[in-house]
Amino acid sequence: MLYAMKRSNDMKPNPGGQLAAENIVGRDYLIADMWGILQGRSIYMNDLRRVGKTMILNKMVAEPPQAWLAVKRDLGGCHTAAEFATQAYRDSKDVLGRKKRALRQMNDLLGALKGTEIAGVIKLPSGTPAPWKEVLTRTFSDLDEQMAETDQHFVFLWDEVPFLLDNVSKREGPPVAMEILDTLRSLSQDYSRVRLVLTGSVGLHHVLTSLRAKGYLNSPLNHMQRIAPGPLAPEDATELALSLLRGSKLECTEPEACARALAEAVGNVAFYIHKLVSRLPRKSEIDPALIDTILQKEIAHPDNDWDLLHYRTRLPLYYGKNETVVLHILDAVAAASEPLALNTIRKALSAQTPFDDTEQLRQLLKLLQQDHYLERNDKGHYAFRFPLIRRWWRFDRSL
Amino acid sequence: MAQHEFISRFSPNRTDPAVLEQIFVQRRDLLDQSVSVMRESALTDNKYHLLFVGPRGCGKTHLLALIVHRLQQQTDLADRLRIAWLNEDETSISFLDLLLRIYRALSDRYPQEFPREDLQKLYGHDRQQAQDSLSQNLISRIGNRTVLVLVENLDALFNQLDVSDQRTWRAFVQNYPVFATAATAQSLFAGVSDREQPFFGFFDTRHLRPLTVEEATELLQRIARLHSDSSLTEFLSSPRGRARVHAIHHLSGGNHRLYIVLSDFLTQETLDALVRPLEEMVDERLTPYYQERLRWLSPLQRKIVEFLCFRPNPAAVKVIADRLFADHGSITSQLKKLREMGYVTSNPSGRESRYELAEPLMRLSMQVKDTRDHQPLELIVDFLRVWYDREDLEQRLARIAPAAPDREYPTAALAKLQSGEPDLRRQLLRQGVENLDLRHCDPAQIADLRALAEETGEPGDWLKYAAACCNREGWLEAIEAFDKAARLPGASAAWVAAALVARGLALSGAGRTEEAVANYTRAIELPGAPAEQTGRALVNRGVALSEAGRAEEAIADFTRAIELPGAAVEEIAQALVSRGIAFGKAGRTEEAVANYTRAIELPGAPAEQTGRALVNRGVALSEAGRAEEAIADFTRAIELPGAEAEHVAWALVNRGFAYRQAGRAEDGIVNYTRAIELPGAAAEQIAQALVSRGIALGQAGRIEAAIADFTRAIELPGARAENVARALAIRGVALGETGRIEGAIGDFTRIIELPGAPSRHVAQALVNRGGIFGQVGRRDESIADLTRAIELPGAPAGLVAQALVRRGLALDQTDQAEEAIADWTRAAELPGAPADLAALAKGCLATASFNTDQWSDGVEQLRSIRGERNAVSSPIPVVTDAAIEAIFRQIGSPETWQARLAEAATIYTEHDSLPHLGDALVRHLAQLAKSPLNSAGLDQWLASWEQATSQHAAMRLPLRLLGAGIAYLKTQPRDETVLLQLPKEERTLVRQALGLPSEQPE
Repeated sequence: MLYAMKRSNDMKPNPGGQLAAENIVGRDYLIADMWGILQGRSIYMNDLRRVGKTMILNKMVAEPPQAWLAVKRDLGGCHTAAEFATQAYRDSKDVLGRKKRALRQMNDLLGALKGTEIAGVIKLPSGTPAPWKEVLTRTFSDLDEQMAETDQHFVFLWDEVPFLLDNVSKREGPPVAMEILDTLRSLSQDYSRVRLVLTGSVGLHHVLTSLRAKGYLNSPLNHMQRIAPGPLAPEDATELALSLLRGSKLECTEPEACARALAEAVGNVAFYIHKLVSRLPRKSEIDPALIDTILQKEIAHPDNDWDLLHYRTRLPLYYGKNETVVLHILDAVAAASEPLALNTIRKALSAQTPFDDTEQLRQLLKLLQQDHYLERNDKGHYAFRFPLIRRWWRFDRSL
Repeated sequence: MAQHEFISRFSPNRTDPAVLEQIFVQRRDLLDQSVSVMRESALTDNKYHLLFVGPRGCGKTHLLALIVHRLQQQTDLADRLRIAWLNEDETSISFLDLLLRIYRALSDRYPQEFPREDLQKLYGHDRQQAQDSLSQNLISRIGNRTVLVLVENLDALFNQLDVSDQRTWRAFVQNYPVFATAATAQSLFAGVSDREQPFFGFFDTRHLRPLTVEEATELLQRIARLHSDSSLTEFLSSPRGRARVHAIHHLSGGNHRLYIVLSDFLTQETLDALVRPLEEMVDERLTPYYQERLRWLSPLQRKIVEFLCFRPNPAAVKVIADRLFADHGSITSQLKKLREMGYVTSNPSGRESRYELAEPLMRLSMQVKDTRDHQPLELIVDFLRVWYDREDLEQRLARIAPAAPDREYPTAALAKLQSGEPDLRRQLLRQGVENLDLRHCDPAQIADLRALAEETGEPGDWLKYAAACCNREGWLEAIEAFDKAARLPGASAAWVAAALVARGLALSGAGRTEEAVANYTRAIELPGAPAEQTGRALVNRGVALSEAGRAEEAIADFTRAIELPGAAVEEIAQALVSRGIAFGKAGRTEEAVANYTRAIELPGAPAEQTGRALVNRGVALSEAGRAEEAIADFTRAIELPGAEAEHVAWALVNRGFAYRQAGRAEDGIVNYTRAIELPGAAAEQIAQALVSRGIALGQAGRIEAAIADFTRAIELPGARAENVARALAIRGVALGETGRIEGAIGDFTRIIELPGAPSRHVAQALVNRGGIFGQVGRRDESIADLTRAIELPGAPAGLVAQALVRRGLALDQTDQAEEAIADWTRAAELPGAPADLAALAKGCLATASFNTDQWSDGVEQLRSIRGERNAVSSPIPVVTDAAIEAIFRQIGSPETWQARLAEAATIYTEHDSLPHLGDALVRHLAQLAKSPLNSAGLDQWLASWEQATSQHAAMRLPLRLLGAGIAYLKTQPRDETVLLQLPKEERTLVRQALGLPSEQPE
């Protein structure tokens, strides 16, 4: 599926806010890929916070391809399995509501139990919640049947799944959260016309780690395609920056050059592009040098709200006793003008520390990639994944 | 006086919005933007969530009130937007509570659309049911409209809600995108700034700055105008009025609310109206607030804040640690936390930071505790002392009945004014500029200095203000201030002389050299001027004259300064160094060195001048080739006790260079490294050291390390554009040479686009980029770059010539021979172009002539090249090849080619360049091999060359090689054994010329 590049509207910066679908720039190719993947399997989307995962879901739900029905839901407000199951049923009902025989099995259940929906939970006449697994299973089954009849597909675009699991784990105990994961795995395998896109602000692997500590041994995401959307494509990022510069009515005689410089400076991440444009002065002529200066001031200010310090402070937690080695690795990569080969990093380390274990170095580099610090280029050399983080790192570490 | 408009000090939303508009200052842009995005929220699917962060009383509610007011004025939003301004005093401990507050706020404003009865239906249900029902109801009643939720003290709300409620709230907003938010908080808090929290990055956060003095003055003026108080408006515009606002500012910080309270009093006839509301504000609002804030702190943090409350000026960490008997590390870490929480601010002072209260009014929390027996509050007494003159207070006091309780404050203020205590207004103003580094003042600090000078009228204060202006290159302000200082009635000759000297410096800075010289002359001739100032004036006049190219007059001034009776040793040292520099510029190295030596040996000379003299002597010795002595001087400068970092850094950079000249590359690198790591070294020096180290590393083959240094120099904050451009240029070349073409092009492009890059760097970058484009076949871009370089205003002649020659070559390759010749002709004739480039251009012209068989023209060009002294050999091979080819082309006409051959031999003989001719003759064997010439013809070719040139020793080897080559060419089939007549090294040369493979070893 091909999407023509659209010229974006002029718009005002809105860092962190909600955007109309037509103002979500880029991602067309990624979304086309995702619809393609959904033909065969569900998706688990994970990346750094504020990289734009929710915006991808918003754009998908606003513009589904033919023969697809989609519903997007932020699950951070669900605190029990029953609330979650009811929400899934409720959303299905909203989408299929007009169809005559839609949700037959669920209607049977409700009819049989004379149940009703109270406070976001389907309850039995006795007041106890209907079995949530039953609700979910019947909802999936109904959807699958309905989609087969009309030769369509259905997708739940579920945001903040880790929050849901954490909420349930706290309210009903970790075993229920584990059951949800297993049920979802089973349902998405059993009903081929119903797919899931799962995502959240924090990685699901953090929740899994904590569940594993409590005895959970399954791999509920294995059957899903994992996607890390990363930043926008450079041309989309530039396009976004240009729209924002124009929409902000900033004085800028070379808007294209400024847009390019701005997008590059923040590593083409849409949130940061919005944020940086919102911080540009209204009464000065904007040029690439000024953009650079403002960004530097922003990240250097002790009270800044970019929270880049997070990348430093989380190291002890993530890397424990290897923190010092990781610091040296990141320093070496940050200071280099180009991506570094494994061997170069090893030499840099051995010049400054007694560390001399290439195998462990490989492991640490792998973890640093998983945690979004580093990436490898086609030669296998390592560089910071986000130039903004590299820039801040160099500033913070006086490199 | 007209009836005052009501301005509520604590609830701006109770003030008439028209009044709020009238007194709104500082944040008009922010207000416009906020209204604009909220309007967009109402009309589109974009929803904005704004968070305004600032301390209590900084105008947050005022801003919200105006956002609401302006949105309500927009009639087209009537059906699209609903406002829910949450009641600030209600508590929300759950998401349900928050929903209830939103509903109630909507119900208060729009009772028909959000009837209260709906809430009645919720009561009696459990919390979850109520929440679900209310959510559904609210969304349904909102319909297709947008609700702007205004939340004050969002930080407090987040403290009340647990994480699961925050998640629920966020999910609600995401699932029902019908809400926009305008919230306020007193400081940034983890709920929105911590990456692990649900609302991280959700709000577009805007920090609200305190008022600057100018903004505070504007606020007071606006309020005065609102109250039609023209005399106050006028007073606030006067220097005295400005100075008073400055003093108040130091007392209270830039708190909006305080100024609003103050403004009310300033327009009152009686002090009574001033004191009571102020006391009420202090007692009932501010003091409990600050005391509450103190209670949130840990004991050590509280002790630090309490200490700063009693401190009149910023304190260093060490001072705080000493006074609190705590260790330095704990205090540092607690101060960091306090700064993050908004309690203290830090001011860099040299290498250390000094800390003070972020909100000066926090002192109230201590003052009230300290006040016994209903003593007047010190803050209010201080206000009176700062704002009113003694006479003014006396008059106002006289209007209050003797037994009235309102007398206590003015009485206390007068008592302090009469007690001989220092003038608080001046004290505050002086405190504000204490420890200022006049070399690095920002505009606000300069305004502080001006306010002090206006208040005191002392020449010293005017001179400080003027000096700060000079350092920011505010020459006109500085000149005016120095003028003022020089003309102050009663100013002593010493002050007048100092002002004149400084005014001269400002005039020099402004490029008004003649006026500067006139000022120095006035100072020099001023009767009664101290020798110190006369000496300084002489030295400065000398420097100005030297810069104007009047070297002899400059030297005379320096000499007078050196010989001036009573001159200070500092001035003598400076004069000696300056005279040394003047001698150096005039090429009188020995005298320069002698002057530096005198300065170095001058007893009592300040380290600054000794260091400067050592560095300059080192440079002079280095240029004279006396590397070891130069290194010794640089070493002394580096080790000089009390030497300034600036001189040490230059000494290190220069010693590095001297070591490299002496072949000690590694020592050079070590010195550059020390300069780079030297605390206090200027960015310019670090950049210079990085570039030099990069070059040294590059020469040592450590290309990647070199590139890393250039990269650091490029990214160094504060590095001068010239150094950045230089680093980019060399890195570009290094990248190009290592095959990273795109990187090289990127670097050259950055130089070209670098604001403030000198023309020569830009021209060089264009020539280099053009060259690279040419190499990779991007000919049009190459020609475009070279054309830009040629047309660049201010480009040096050498680079223009280089660009012309290169463009000519590019044009020639695209068969635009005429344009190519025009370029080479322009390059050859360009005034100021270096001889080697002129020679290259002529070589190109000669080659073009030979190639088009215009022999005479070619010969003429050839003669002129050969006539150039210093002509490098690079153009010669091509030209000579073309000449030999032009001779050979006439092989069918023996008379012609033999005449040409003889002419060429003569020219090369005359210019002592026969080796070039010989080389070309051997190279030409390749052409002979391809030519259809028979054996007789080949013999004739050889014979003619032998006849014309064999008498010259330089031609014997080429002729021998030519002979052997021809012998080979004559064999049929070709027989390489004939080459065995030559020794191996000569055979190799012939084989190369004939294009034969190298001989394989046996």
